[in-house]
Amino acid sequence: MRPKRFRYLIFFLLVILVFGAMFGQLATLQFIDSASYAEALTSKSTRTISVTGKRGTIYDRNMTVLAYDRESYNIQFYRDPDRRKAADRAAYTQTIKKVIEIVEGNGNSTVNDFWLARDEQGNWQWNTGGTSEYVINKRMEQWRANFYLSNETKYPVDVLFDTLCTNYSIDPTWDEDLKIKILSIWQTSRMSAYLSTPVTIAFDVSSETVAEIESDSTLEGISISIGYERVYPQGTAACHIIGYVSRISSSSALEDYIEKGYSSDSLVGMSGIEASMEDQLTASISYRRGQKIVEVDNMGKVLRTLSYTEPVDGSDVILTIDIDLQRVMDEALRDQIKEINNEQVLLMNDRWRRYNADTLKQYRENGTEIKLAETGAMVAIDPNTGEVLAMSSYPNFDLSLFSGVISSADWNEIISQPNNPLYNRAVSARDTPGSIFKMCTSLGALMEGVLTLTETISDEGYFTLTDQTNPPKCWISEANRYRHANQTIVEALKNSCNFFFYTIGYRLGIANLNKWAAQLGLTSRTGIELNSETTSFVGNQDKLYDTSRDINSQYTSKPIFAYYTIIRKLRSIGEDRGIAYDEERLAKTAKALMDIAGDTTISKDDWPRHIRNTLMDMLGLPSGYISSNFLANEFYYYIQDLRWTANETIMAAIGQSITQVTPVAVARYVAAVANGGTVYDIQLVDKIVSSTGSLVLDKTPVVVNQITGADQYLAAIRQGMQEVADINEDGTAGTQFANFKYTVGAKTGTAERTDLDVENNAWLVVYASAANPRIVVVTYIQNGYAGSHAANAPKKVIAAYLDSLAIKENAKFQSDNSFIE
Amino acid sequence: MSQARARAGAKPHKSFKARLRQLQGFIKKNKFDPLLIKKVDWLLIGLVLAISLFGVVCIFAATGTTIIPRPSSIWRMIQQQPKYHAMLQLLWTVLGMAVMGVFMYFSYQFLSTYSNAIYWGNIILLTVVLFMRAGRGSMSGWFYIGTRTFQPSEIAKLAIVITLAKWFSERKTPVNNIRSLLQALAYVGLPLVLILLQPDYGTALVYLAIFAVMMFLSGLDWKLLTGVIILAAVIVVPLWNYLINAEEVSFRLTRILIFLDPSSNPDSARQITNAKIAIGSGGLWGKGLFANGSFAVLDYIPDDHTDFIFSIVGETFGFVGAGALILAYLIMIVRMTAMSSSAGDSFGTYLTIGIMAMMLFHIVENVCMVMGLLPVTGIPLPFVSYGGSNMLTNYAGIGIVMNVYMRRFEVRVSSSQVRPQISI
Repeated sequence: MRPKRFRYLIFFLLVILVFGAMFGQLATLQFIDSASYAEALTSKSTRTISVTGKRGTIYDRNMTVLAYDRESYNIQFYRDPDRRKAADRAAYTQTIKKVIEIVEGNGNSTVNDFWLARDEQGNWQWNTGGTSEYVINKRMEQWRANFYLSNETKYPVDVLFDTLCTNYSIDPTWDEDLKIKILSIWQTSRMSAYLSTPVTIAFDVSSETVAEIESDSTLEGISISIGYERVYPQGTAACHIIGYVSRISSSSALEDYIEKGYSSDSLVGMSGIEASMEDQLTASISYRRGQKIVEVDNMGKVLRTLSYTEPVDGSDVILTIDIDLQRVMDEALRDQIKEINNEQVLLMNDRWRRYNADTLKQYRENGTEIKLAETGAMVAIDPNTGEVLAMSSYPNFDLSLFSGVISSADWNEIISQPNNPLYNRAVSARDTPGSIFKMCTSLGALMEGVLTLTETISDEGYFTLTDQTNPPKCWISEANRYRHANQTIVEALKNSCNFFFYTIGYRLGIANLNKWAAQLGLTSRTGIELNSETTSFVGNQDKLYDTSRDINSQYTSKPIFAYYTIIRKLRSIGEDRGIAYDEERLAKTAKALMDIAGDTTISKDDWPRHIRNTLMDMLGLPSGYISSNFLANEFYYYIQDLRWTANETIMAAIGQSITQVTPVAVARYVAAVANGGTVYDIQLVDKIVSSTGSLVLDKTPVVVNQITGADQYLAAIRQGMQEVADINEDGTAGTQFANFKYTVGAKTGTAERTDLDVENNAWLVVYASAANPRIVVVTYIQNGYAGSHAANAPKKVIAAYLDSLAIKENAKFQSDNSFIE
Repeated sequence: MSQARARAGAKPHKSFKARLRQLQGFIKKNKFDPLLIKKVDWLLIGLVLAISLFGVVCIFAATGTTIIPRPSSIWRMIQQQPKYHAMLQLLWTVLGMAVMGVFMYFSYQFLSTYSNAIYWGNIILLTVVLFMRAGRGSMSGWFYIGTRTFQPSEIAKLAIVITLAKWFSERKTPVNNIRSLLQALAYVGLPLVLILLQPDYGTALVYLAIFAVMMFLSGLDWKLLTGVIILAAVIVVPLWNYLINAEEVSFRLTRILIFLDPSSNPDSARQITNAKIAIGSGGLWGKGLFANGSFAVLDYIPDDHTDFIFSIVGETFGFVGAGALILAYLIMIVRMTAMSSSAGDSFGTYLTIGIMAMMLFHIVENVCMVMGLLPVTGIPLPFVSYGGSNMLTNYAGIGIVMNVYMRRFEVRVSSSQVRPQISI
């Protein structure tokens, strides 16, 4: 039986009907409902979220935490880019207001950094917080663009606030404080609108705030994120060593960091170990970052995670310092500076004023203030390793204020203080060493054979070999000069006799003096892991005036001073002759004239001839004009300070002249004397441990230089230093170390700065104990009057350290012996 | 295969020779005449092949993933995308073509001769599979061969077509009384019950569809037809209520419930809602392969490379692509229906109708369920959905249709025109 034709017909009709329905539904879905479905789909799009782990912890040598990352809750705000109607803005403003109320109700605060503020007259002014003109303009421009208020004539600065209040439906009856807070949040959102990611509007809020925010479902666009907050638990202790983190401020640095994988709101180390160990500590660098690909709806709400790569935490840094000793040192330094300051005030009595009447008159005329002890630094290192045990700089600042993000009020408070508390004087301050340099001169003279251990030299008053007209002499008074008779090197160090060191410095010469300063590590960086370290140097021709360097980048201010004096003179010559020399020609001539002094192959006798030739060649001055105006003599006088002289050499030998050293470099140098000639790199970092616990770096002492064949000489120098601190030997710091429980080696330094003795820099270097040096302490007090006056601070540090060492070793001894019992 | 050879080797040589002679005789009898190639319907083969290859592309799209950062060129993108399923589907297509060849080689009269054996063989297979371990949706529908699976209900579809075709071709008159209707129901009922026991309602529905289409075209009495529809309504409604109240609600029932009220089970309803969103967002031209944020790469629709592949077709290729696919299916169905009427004998006609009905049901049910017009059942889209069993079955079906069509002029009254001896 075959099927019926008629049935086929009906069947065909049915098939066509069914397929027609299918086409119909397809068309309905794809044409009529397409728009709504497409919208439904875009609401589910992927977003890549960068996940950052924890920044590494900084520990001291006993694993006390100095800085760490704490988990914190932040409130984020996301404004749907598609919701830009006035009604939407009004709704968001209400939401923001509610959030502010919740946050403040729980004692937290929202971001409040509005770029407009009222001045004293109550007029609105820009307050972008930019440091340079360029940054301020850029910020203003971006701000206007982001708020759609670019038209400056239509929207001058005084109407901006009210315009925004209208645009964002802020009720005029609200408190102005609240208005500013609301606009701060809008500003945060608008300024990163191009990122179309949530912005953080409140950092580190309490769990009560989180609970309230989470339970309020009407808060559209508000979410909670978990972040990390840097915490500095040690207050002022080691503030300069630890340093602090902050958001990247300059745009050029930002580019470099973004290239490394940082995001624009990453926190980076700005100073101290936080800055120098940035690559180790940070979790923001690309290879430590994790990634999360999530699906989000159009509210920015994460629907599900598609893939997740876990971030790697930053490595931990363990420092060599002992925070307890650090605290002792911080306190000792502060007290020491105050003590000296008090002494100075007492010293400046009538008699002193009469005595210094001429200088004081000068000061009054120039409006110069007398500088007394206010700042200083101390460094304590282990002479057998180069490890820093403690390091202080005064004034210091409260590092705990930097926990989280420092408030602008706190920041302004810190930077407006006198004497810049952020400046780490222990590594960045460079100053004249004075007599503490004498060990270097001694070792050089002994090693170069210009002095023997048995040779004696007597103070003969004026040292006339280098300067007959105005010869220098030792600090000791004429009446007491007999005390400086027939001195060996040991006695000379004990007496700190300048005459003795002029003599051996004269014999040694500046080249050898530099050579032995270099051997002792005084002319190079110490290698301490702090970016702000400056390099110490010892005077010579190149340091005085280096012809190959730019005028503006010389070691001292002498060249730039000479330069401007010469330029002024040359310009007056031009005026006198009715010629306007162009600036470049003047600059070249000035440099050529200075180079005569800088070129040591030209003897001083030939200077007038060279000066004349230069003026004739470069400015076309006639010979007659030069001689009739005594120009050769005048310029001779201007440039003579740029030529290194034998007198400068003997001054360098006693640590004066242009020599400048940092406290940390001095510590390394004294350590080399104390330990028998080993110059170590100074190290602040002991270990670096990765987040997985593996040892990234375990620093061992780095020997930079080993001085050999100097044992007996160094022993003699140490003997001298020991007598410095010996009251029986009447050393320069003998009284100060009398009755001190540890015998020490020490050397005072009193570097002259001005004609007023109270303004002298005070240096005191000490190692202890004398027989078994375990610690070197350098104390440097700017305008500290006299080195010997700064003995209390190092005594406290040494006592604290050696006492704790004794306790530890005693405990070890007992535990070793408990076996036997 | 090695077992078979071993067994053959163990048997006496003489018996093997006799078997060989028997087979040689059969081959001679049903020899494939190379001239038949000229009578093949290239339109149908071309259509099927085109749809299959389009399917491979769609599976590639459906199994794609989000690659971040987005590759610079589409070529790079293709290189980085996973290709496992697409390559396998391509292999199934090639194998399918081979299976089609095999089913074209011997005359379909062979199927007529052995229809009884096919029927009972099918029953045995469906019975044995009930004892296999349960797979997806607690169904015992699969044989496990190594890591791959094999679904006997796929072959059962062909078996049911063959046996029903035989049954209808031997009837002198259309079904016009209740007795013959019951006979027919009994005949199709046995395998149907076994399929329901798995329980595989989808395939059971395919059986019913095949049966209904054949019955309708064969000229079922209008009065009976109306009666059956009313009866079905009477049976379905109480059964429905029973299933709803049953404590153990199967996932298939869930799917039907979701169809009726998508908000009742939001998690599972997501499959349909998202399928509709995917199709709708495709628009006229579609989003193209591996579009960012597309459901195809987001894996947002469960089974989007198998049963729900049509949503990916709609999303990726838009109305143009999905419409073209439906049109191709329509042409395929119309063409097969037309071919059925030109068959050399009524067995061939019903064979073609049965296979056409099978595919028609698959197409309509699948496309409509993805677009939210019909409840969700586990019915794949022929030649496009990923899966070997279904692909091979469909190609075998096309092979049978082609077999009938190219032999349309060599009508041979088969010696096996004997009513099948079945007992219920």
